Amino acid sequence: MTKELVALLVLYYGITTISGGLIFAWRFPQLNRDSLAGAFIGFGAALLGFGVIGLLALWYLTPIKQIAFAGVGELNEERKGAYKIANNVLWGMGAFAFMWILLFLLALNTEPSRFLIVVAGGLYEGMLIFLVAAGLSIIFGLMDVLNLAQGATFTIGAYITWAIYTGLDDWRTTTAGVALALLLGLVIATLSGGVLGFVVERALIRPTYSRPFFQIVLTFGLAEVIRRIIIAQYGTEGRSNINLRLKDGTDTFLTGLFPGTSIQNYWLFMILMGLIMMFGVQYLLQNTRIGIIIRAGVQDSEMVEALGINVRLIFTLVFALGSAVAALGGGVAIGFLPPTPVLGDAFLLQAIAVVIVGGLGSYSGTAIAAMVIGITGRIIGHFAFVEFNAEALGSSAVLLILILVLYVKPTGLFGQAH
Amino acid sequence: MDDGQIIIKSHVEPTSPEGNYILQVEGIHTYIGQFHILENVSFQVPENSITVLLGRNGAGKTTTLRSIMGLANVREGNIVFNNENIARRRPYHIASLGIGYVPEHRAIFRDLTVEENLRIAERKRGDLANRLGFILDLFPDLKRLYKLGGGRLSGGQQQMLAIARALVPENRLLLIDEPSEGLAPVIIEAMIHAIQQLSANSTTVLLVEQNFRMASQLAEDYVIIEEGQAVLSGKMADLVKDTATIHRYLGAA
Ligand SMILES: Nc1ncnc2c1ncn2[C@@H]1O[C@H](COP(=O)(O)OP(=O)(O)OP(=O)(O)O)[C@@H](O)[C@H]1O
Ligand SMILES: [Mg+2]
Repeated sequence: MTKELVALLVLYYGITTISGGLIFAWRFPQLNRDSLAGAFIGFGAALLGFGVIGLLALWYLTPIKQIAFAGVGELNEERKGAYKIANNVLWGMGAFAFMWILLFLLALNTEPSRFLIVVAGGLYEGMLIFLVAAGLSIIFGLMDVLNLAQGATFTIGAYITWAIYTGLDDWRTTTAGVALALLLGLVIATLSGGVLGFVVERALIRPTYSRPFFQIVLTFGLAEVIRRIIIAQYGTEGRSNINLRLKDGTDTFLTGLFPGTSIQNYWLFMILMGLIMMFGVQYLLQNTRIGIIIRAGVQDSEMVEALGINVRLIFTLVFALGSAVAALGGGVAIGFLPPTPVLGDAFLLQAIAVVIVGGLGSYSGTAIAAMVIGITGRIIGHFAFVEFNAEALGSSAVLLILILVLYVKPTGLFGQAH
Repeated sequence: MDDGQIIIKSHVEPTSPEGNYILQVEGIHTYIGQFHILENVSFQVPENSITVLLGRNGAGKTTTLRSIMGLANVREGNIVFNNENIARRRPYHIASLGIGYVPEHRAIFRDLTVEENLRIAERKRGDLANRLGFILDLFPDLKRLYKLGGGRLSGGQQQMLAIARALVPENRLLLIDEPSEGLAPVIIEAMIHAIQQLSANSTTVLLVEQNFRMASQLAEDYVIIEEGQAVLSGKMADLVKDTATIHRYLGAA
């Protein structure tokens, strides 16, 4: 039954997007300049226009109605499982609908090039938040540890990549040289993040598993220590952006604008890296032995151990992996954001919000929430800028969403009650 | 098989006149937090047969199994499995020596499919492929549920999966905690059949079972736990006749 439901949803969104896009392309030809914007607007309009029909169809064609009316108490186990899934799908739809409506409002309010900037900006920011949140979410789900040093790890990744890239300044004579220097920086930053995570888990987290409050204090303190070390080394000022152009000023594929749009190529690079990590980790969780162990451990790590699996080793690996991904995030960020000692801190806060909104322990919830919050934050920032000349209000939108979600669904959008 | 056992017997120093014990619990004291739950529990489990742990609710049966598995804090005493002292070892180490654990309350992984629930129990590559035929013969229902999420199985199906999971690697000893709890008689019959099959396949079973009928049908030996102490043990055949003892330690059965 759930497979059919998912298929129906995909079909529904597919048809509405395409038809909406077509209608708008036909109705507002001036938007054709930016076909992507057309598609987004189409989507928004389609959601409003066809949404009612689609939801009615869902209501009558699937068992949602019976499930909703039966009341959870009267359902047997099997139907309860179906209810939970349908419930989560509906919340996911709701989250997306919310975002699409914002997109629609934005599209009405701006010209296409600005629209694209806001959306792409939201996407890359969502990706950076995601890279911090992924580790937070999995580590919290598996070991009940809230790793507050995750933001500092992001910052470390940024500085390491920065140091390596600027150290290899001589390589900036060819495009390949630039790419290689950046790649080297990212790889070393990622590895360092992994090593840091490994050491932190062994030294600070492992002795305190039965005392979660200590862990919060310890990781928070560690973040502060890292910040101090960075300040001692590089000062409070922060560094200038890395220069991804060649020495003679020629653009590389990482600089300049994407042809025909107003989006920076580097933004697309960040989005791409985020997507690769998103699907990479998803693949790891779904299809590998360690992924199965992690998903099982989220529910009952004691039982996993009783099957003959060294769970503590898995904990260490996951902690290292989460830190590595965060450090990679920092490394990727510095092509656009100059490294400062507090670079990761803003991302940490948003990432915590994302993990809660997505539902504690739900990886896909975290991924979706990161996108939704990234884009929503940017759109609200845009309106705040237009109306109050205060773009910074955008980040407080995250808090608003957090409160809203906790109010209507305390377990987060995709979370299940424990 | 028979030859093999005779050879093993001749090599093992007998620890009792009866010979082969696969597991010997020797004076263990187990704590949960500050609470002294097991006080000096000792008993033996003979190889290749079924032994049942009996006792009232809260007597300490589950805690005994958890102590063997390394999941509880055993402060004193020894647990000898296959000539190795496993007391105070990590659970994963104990499991990998060849002990399978089927805990109380159907602790299967709800977010994993039936297949993944079995696959995670592999100790080496190919375990599942080797045992799948045997497992599906024991529990034919699992065949049709194979790709379904564990959380969507019924209670009885989950219990079968929990036992099946313990059968994936080659275990020499299975600890099974109340398999019949909350199950329909038909399913209990299936469970009895499955556990007998296992025993016939030369796996030793240490069972906790409140359902005395099921226990007496299955087990050759029994151990009675009362308020954290092993108070009585012997042959099931003798206990069945001894209604006074049954009444005294197990209440009306
Ligand atoms: N977390 C705990 N803290 C304190 N005491 C506990 C805890 N868990 C169990 N106990 C106590 O340990 C004793 C033994 O519990 P155990 O679960 O081993 O009993 P049992 O024989 O398996 O009972 P049942 O037949 O009800 O499953 C009980 O008296 C129980 O109250
Ligand atoms: Mg019990």
